[in-house]
Amino acid sequence: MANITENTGHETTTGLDHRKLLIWAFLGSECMFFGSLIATYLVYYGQGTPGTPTPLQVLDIPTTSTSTFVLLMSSFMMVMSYNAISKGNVKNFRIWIMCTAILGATFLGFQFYEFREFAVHYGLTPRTNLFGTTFFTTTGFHGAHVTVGVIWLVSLFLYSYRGDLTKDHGLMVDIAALYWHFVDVVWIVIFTLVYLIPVGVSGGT
Amino acid sequence: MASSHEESTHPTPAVYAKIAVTLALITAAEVAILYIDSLRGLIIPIFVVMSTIKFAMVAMFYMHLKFDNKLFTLFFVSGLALATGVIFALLILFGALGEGRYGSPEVVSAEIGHGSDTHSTDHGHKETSKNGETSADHATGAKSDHADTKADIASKDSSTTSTTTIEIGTKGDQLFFDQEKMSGKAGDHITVKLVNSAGAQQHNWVLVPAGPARLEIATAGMTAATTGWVPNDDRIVAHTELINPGESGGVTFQVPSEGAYEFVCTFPGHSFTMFGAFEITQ
Repeated sequence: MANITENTGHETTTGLDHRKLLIWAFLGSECMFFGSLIATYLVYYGQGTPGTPTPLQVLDIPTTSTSTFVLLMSSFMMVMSYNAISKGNVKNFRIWIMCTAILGATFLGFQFYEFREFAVHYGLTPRTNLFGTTFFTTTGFHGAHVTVGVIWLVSLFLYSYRGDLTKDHGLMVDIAALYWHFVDVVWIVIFTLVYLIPVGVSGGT
Repeated sequence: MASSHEESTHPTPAVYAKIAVTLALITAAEVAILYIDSLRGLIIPIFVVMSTIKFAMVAMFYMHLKFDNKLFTLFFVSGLALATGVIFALLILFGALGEGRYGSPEVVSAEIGHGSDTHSTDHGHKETSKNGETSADHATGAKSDHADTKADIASKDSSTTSTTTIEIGTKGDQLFFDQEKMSGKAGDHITVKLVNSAGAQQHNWVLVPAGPARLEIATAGMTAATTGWVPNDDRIVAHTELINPGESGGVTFQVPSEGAYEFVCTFPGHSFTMFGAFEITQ
């Protein structure tokens, strides 16, 4: 069976497509980017100015668990769309990738609701205290990544209607998929370190 | 050129579906565990293990690292390892791994004891040149308690009234004061003595109005190296000198009659964690 990574028309010294190497190098650097954001959140945890909203008052675990579930399932849809295109099934590819984008947009909807709730209901903004600053920066940058991902997925969906997205172009989908899964695993870490552990340790349920 | 066999070894949709179900179940279990009180003490290791499993499943199967060229794994794991290192390094540096950090913060009221006569003198002499000199002295480790020496030199206005001395320390090398709240009676003359128990850090204690003033003054202090990182700002009620590690020093001042105040260490970078509320009692 043809190997999609190497069926792209140019030879490289490693035998690996440079675009795929590039996305992995990029994702490696993204790990450090999010690592420092999460570390900052943890370092300043519990250092809010007295009298301002605390994580335990505002974090809503049931809602965030639901949005986490949505994002995890979007990863499944993504891998299914990759599976479809690598078998040359463009019709199924379109269905799955549209589902992925819709779930991604749903996740963003949850985040919009959460941010709005924090700002309007609790008066917590990035300027309120260290918790607000670090929370909105960390989850906001993740949300920005999801937004880029949704645009990327919809673009691929539209691109497929030009008729030249065949199984030979699986790499295009592969790279978008890697980015999308990465955004998913980052959320797995954020959900645990930003939401679950602080709330769990403090008995905030 | 076709050296690997990615596609033929990639999992089937059935495997992808099983992984999706597992991911969902683990997330559900995590939320359930939050509500089980008996697991409270083990919550960190449990959550770390569960999220690591989720992370690994997505990376290995959905991102195909298990089947792809190992160079991709190397790129990704290198970044991941550096990120983990950064997180732990920062947590250790800021003392965030210490006990009770994620529990409800324990508010310790300042212990107010009546200072002896020898401590009732003013240490709050604002001599910048003196400051530089003493710092140099201490770099050699020659003197052990400059605060008392300074006290002898610098006794002035409050010598006639008996003052109360409040002691505040640091949490060892962590960038925290050992108290989050202090208090003083309106109009009283009090001495605040800062005991710097850090091994390497210099600290000071600066009393400022509560609210944005703390950050503004701390920011201005970053360029005030010649005055012990204390900026020239009228809003500052009182401040100690820069206290060297292992030493102590105080400042005597009259507690304002009303208003909300906070204390902060204005050494650059310390103000984010080294601060607390100063309550005025009537």
